[in-house]
Amino acid sequence: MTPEEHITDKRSFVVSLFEEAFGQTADEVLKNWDELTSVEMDGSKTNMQMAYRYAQEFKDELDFYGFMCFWLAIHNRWCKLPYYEEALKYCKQPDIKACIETNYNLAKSTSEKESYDGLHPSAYGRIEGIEKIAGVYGRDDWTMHDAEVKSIVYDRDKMTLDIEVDTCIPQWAADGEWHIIPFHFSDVLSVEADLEMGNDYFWTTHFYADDNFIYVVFDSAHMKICARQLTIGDIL
Amino acid sequence: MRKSANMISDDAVKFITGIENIEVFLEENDEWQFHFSKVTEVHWNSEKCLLDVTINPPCCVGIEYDRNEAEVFLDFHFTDVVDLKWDYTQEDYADEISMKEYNGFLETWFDHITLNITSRGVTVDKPRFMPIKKKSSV
Repeated sequence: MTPEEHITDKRSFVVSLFEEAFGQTADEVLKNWDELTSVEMDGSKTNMQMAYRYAQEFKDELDFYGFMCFWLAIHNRWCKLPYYEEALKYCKQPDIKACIETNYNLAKSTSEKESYDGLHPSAYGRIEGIEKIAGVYGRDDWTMHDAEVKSIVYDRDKMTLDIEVDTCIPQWAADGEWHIIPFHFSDVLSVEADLEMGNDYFWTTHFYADDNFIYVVFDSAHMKICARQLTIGDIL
Repeated sequence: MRKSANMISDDAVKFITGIENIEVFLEENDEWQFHFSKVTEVHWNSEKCLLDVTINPPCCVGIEYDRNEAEVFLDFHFTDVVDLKWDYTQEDYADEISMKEYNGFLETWFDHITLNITSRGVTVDKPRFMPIKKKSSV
C-alpha cells in the first residue's frame, strides 16, 4: 500500500501502526491512550503520547507518515532499515530528518545484529534478503502458513541448492494471491527433506547459526538445510 | 537374456523403463551396487510430480571407456512422485539401489544414504560419459 492509501485518517493510522508494532488492538489503543504511556517501550514512557501529539500537529499527512515510520523503526525489534528508508523519503521537518538519518546510519553500521524470533544473530549476517520475509507475519515471525516446497534444484559440483516456496502471505497480497519465495543456498553441507506430495505444507521457518554455517529448518515439511550462505530472492 | 536382478523384484520391473541401462555397468556379482556413487543433481518439481536424480558411480563395467579420462553419470527420472525422503551430506555415497513394487507404487531406495522415492515409475537414461575435469596446475 502506498502512503497515500494508508493515510485517510491520522488517528486511525497511528492506531494501525501501534497495532503492527506492539500487537495492541485498535480498541485498546484508543481506550487506554493515557494509560499506554505507562507501558515500557524501549525505556521511554512518553513516546506514545508524543506520537499522538504529533499526530494532531502534522499538517502534511505524508510528512506525518514519514515520522511514524521513523517511530516504528525505533521501536521494532526487526525490519528497521526499510522503515528508516521510508521515513527519510517522506519526513520533511529538518530536525526530525536529521535524527532519522543518524539513527539509520547507526542501524546500518551496527555489528551487533538484533535477534529475531527464530533467527540467531550470527545467522543474520549470512542471509541476504531476509528483510523480504522478516516480520511479514508481525508477531508470528517466520511463520509461513500453508507454504509448499514447489521445486528443489541441487547441484553437488557447485554445492548449491535452490528451493522455491509457494505461500500466501496476507500482508503481501490482500487479495489472497500466492507468491513464490526463492531461496538460494551456497556451499551446501547437508540436506534433509521428507516431502510427501500433496500433504506437506510447512508452517514455520527457523534460521540459526552454528560455527560458520547457517541452518534453515522448514517445519513441518521436515526440510533442513545446512549451508554457508543463503540469498532470498525477489518475491515472484 | 537379462541378468537376474537381486534387488529389483519382478513386480518392480514393470515400473522401470531403461533398466538395462543400469545393468550394464554393474560388476557381474555385484548387481545393483554402485559403491561410492555420488548424487550429483536432484531436481524436484512438485507441480509435475517429477523427480530427476543424477548418480555418478565410480565405474561402468561392460562399456569400454577410459576411467582416467571420463566419468559416468546415470540419470533417473521418477514420474508421479508421491513421497521423497532425502538425507544427504557432501560426504555421503550411495552403495546400492533397490526397487520394489508396493501397493501399485514403485519404492526406490538408494542405500546407504537416505534417498527414498515413492513413485509410479522411473525411466533410466543410457549412461552418460563426461570428460573428467582436470585441475589446472599452478
